[in-house]
Amino acid sequence: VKRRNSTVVILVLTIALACCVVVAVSLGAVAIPFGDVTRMLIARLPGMNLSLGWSDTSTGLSISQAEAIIFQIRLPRVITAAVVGGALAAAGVVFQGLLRNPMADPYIIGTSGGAALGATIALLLPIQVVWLGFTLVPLAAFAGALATVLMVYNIARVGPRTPVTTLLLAGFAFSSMLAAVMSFLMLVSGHTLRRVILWTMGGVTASSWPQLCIVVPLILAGVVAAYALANDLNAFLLGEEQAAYLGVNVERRKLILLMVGSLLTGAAVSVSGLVGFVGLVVPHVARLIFGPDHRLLLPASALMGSLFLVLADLLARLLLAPAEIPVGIITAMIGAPFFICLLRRSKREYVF
Amino acid sequence: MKTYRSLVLWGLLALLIIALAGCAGAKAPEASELAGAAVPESGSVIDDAGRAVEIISNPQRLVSLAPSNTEILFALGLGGKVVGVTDFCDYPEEAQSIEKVGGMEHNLEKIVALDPDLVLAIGGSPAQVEKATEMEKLGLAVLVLQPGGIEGIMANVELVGKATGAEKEANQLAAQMQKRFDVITSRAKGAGSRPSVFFELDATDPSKPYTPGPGSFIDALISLAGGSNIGASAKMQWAQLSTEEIIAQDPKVIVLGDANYGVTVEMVKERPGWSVITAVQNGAIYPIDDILISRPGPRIIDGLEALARIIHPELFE
Repeated sequence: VKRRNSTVVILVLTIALACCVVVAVSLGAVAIPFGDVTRMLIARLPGMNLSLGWSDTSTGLSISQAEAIIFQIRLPRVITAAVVGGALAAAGVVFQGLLRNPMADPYIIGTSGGAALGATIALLLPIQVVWLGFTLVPLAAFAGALATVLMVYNIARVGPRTPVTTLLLAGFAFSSMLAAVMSFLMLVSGHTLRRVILWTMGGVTASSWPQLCIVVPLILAGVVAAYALANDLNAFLLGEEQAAYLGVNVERRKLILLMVGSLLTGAAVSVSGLVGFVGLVVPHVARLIFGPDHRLLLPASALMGSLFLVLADLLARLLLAPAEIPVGIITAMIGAPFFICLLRRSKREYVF
Repeated sequence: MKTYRSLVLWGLLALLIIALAGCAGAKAPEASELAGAAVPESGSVIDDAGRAVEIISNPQRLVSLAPSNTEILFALGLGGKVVGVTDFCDYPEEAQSIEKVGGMEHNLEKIVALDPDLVLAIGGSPAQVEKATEMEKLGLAVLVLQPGGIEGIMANVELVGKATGAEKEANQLAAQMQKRFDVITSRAKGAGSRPSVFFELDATDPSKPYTPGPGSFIDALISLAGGSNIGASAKMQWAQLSTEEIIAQDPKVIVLGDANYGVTVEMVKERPGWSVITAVQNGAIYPIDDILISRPGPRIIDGLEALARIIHPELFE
């Protein structure tokens, strides 16, 4: 019965996400009727042979303009929001489970500091590099995030073991150091400062299809890998000693989980900058609703993270249209009160 | 916590500076009384902030607090009298070797130490006018320039001429500017079309670049140059247009005001969705030196001409 329940949950969340994506794609600065948008989307599905019958004159757009707006601008943006939200929420579950710390988020052991420093350096360098459709900035952010985690992991290692406390402390110390270096670079960056600040605020605006073709598979692979490790995360909930008694190769699994979580975070950060809050709170919300079993918690969190960021980005685009609000403000402004409500209303004590 | 603490620190620092400035202000009258003892000849002009400014005739030591002011002074042949400029005063080249008094914020001590006969400030915001008043309390003659439009720049040239004793040169320069202005605008007016123009100010976030909105200086320049600014439909003077809106408005010409900051024609072509825009399809994307367009100095006419040549190349063949 339990298994069937979780299948239903995942199915419902997936359908909700699909609906949200369609709604998010059909709303924007330029009004395009909902019917036309859905028809255009369906026409692009593989195996569909639908004549569009574009007759809309109310907006004064030609079909090529409408297609450019839908397929080149809105859809990539909505997909970016979905995968970034999913990646951050999944990474949040991984880090919270691994570190057994409710305050853990995907950035906790230095990924954000490393990514931000990498991006800042790339923004300051006067060179233009394009590799696989990526400029230097996302590449440097990704590399910075992973390099930082590797360094923190090595610093935190005590003999054959990597105690969680040392890992957290080393991560914190390392992040502070990187943040200081970044602040200094920002101070001397002159007119690049705006770009650095914009990047650190995060947002899901400027992704192109070639970028998505790399990031989406990477993130999907990361989520699947994290799901495959759900049983290990469940074992970690009992404490490392208990997990070892259950036959889990604790140190090995710890490293793998750390790598999967960091990969997810690095991939998300490379396309969206530092979007906060999703990776911290969505896993808690999912835990309050679905309980602590990672086999359900992980995929449910990922889907809820997608849903949440797609909606937050939609609001960010619409609330002050034609101006936009940085999505990080929306995620915290709507997510935090929602989370507080949920905490107060839940009848049972929070099970971590 | 960290930000809170640094806020407190900066706050304390600001208080200290204000207190020091207050002390300096209190002492100033003595200084001006001393200067008054010599009783040099002086006259009064009304500046753009509506203040009557008492200036000794033929001032010999000039400080400029804006690149546009520096350009006006040099164009009037007064470059040799300029003793202080800002970090941003890059034209003409000689200006770069003059003593700097700061960038956006100016160092009052340094300005006073340069002992100028006249300081050319800029208005634009109440805070800037306040700063001028503050400098005046230190016994300095401060002329605030704040041109509202291209005619205002020509009037500024004449005002500076009057204040510095270079009236003849100023009238000549203003007349020359007026003549070129008339030629360009009458040609543009006579053009058969008014192509739609997207002017990019800043594309830090390329999905929603900044563009000059209605009532802005560049909006007026685009109209004078015979174009119609698609940003004119925005709500603010410094407006953000989403790519969606740019595609829907379908400009015939794209002008890159951010070309000086690394944006290239190639980059614009490669932005997702931009390939359907008429300007991109026709290769009508042009970089422009934004300093010519945005700096209210004598070279503004060069900027207007550059813009008109981009929008109506056929008029200049």
